Amino acid sequence: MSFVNYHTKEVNCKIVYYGPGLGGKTTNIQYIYQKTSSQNKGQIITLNTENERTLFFDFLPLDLGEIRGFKTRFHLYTVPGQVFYEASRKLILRGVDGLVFVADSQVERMEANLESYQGLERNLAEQGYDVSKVPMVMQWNKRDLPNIVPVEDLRFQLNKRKFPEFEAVATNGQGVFDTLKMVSKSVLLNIKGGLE
Amino acid sequence: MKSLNVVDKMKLILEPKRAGINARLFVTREDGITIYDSIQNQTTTSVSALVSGVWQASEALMGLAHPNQDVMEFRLGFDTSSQGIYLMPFSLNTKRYFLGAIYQDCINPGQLKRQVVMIKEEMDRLFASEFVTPKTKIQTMGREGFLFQEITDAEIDRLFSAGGI
Repeated sequence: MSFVNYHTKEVNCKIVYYGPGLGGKTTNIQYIYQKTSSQNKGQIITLNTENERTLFFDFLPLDLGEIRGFKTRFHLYTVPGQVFYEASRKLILRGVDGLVFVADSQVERMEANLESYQGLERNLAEQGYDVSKVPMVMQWNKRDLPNIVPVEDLRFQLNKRKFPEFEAVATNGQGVFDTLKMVSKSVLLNIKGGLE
Repeated sequence: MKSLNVVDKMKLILEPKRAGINARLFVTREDGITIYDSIQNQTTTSVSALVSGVWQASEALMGLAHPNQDVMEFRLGFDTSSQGIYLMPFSLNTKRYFLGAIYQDCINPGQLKRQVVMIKEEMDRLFASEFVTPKTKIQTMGREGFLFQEITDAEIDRLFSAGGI
């Protein structure tokens, strides 16, 4: 559902950060917000519960430079990770151009990771997406914590489709921009041209 | 009108009306993309994202109680007697958009909402003949059907460095 305006030569893309609750989706967006110069970002919108869990979505518009003459604008969204917000997650996935699945590397969160990823595939399929063709990047977050699952196990359990993957510590920014750059590239390459 | 893209169409219709309406007037595509905003600033894209979210949430809520309703007939309001938000959906070339107004210190909100309804009706009339306009092939670059043939990592790095990253 990316939007290409040939007259103004602008490309708008929607990227959604998906994953289990407390996995670090909002932390990714907040880090990107902190590190982006003020003229290139809009307001960050967070719709939280009173204990700062994402209630509906976080939203960050990013105006970047030009690529091949097209000005690029990325709309970054997170979904609420908690299991009972499934209806909200489905809504936010509408019109998505690219996805980052933020997995929590801790052993005790593997079941939540799996449940979330299976929900993502189910929700995408419900909306008519061919899951294998949606640009997606896997982020193995919280790699600085003790008691983490080896990357090989995360890959085996969650990345059977062999999407690009990055290790990350979103709290200090490690892997955050590598992930964003990769999904941005995949999304831009996936934009259908020629139609308006 | 047919030869214009949707952004230019909205500008053509809505710009002359700005002076007569004491409100922020905007058009947002269903997925949160800004098509028109009478106040262009850093909140523009946020307005669009929130409008899209609030409409989708309301539609889902309505669907819980009464599934299979035609939501194109609905309006969405969030208001007091002098300030608020008013949204109306409309279609163009099978895509759905929202025409909206955000107003403050309004003496007669009813009149303002009526103005929004009239703009929407005018757009319906103007766009009626374009409803089945076939998509126009403008240009392709590189791989058949895709906008970009190839993007290098260096180009992506330059793109982000332009954003101060």
